[in-house]
Amino acid sequence: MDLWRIIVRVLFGYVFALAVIRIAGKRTVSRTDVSSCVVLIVIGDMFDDLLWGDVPAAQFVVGIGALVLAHVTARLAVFRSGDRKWRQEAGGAGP
Amino acid sequence: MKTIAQILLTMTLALAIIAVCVFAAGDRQTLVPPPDAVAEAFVRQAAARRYDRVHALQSWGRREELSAAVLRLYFDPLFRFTGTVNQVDAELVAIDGDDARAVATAYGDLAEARFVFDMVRQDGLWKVYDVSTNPMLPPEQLGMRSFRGIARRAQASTGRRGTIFR
Repeated sequence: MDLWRIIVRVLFGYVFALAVIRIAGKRTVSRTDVSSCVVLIVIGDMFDDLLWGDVPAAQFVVGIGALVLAHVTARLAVFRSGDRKWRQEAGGAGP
Repeated sequence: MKTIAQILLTMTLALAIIAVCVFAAGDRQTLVPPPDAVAEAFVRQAAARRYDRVHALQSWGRREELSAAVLRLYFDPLFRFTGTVNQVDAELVAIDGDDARAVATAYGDLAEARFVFDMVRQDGLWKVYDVSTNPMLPPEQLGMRSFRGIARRAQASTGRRGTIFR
């Protein structure tokens, strides 16, 4: 396998993964909770498949995109449910 | 919501770049799996008896002709003969436009089997349209007689012409 092809794949995968993770929020990587850890492990495994040409780059893009979308949606849902609880508690404790 | 829209936009942009590279610029090995990787995946999946995945690696015409059940009839005796496959090596022989040839070797506990793959490019991806096996070894050594018998029985039972092994 040509080495330059590996370099092109790595650069493509790196730029795409970096872009998506930055858009999803820096907390995705800086916060060391269980869900972020799982996301990073899965992204690492997908990267390996792209690097050796086992999967088309389109599948890599759709796979990582879907994973990050699911992560962001789940985080949003958790945030909103926490917000609701806080409001309920604040409302209940009020005069 | 803004974040989700941005992620979707980035995915669309990346897919557009891939489409331009594969369909307009004619990339055949970088952003799509090269023929040797497809050949290796074919042998690995067949050795693991995952025939539905092997079926998906075939070209359109071949997929209609050879179902996963027929592939099982072809490959099971061969991999019984080679024993458990421990290693698969694949090598690209040639690419000529939308056609390619690759060679894969499966190293089993009992014997090794060599496959020659002829491939065609469909939807930008390399797909297998013909496989021949062990051209350098006598058929008896790799159970080709029983193999051909199974192929004939499969052909008779399905009424289809199964010529995956030339």
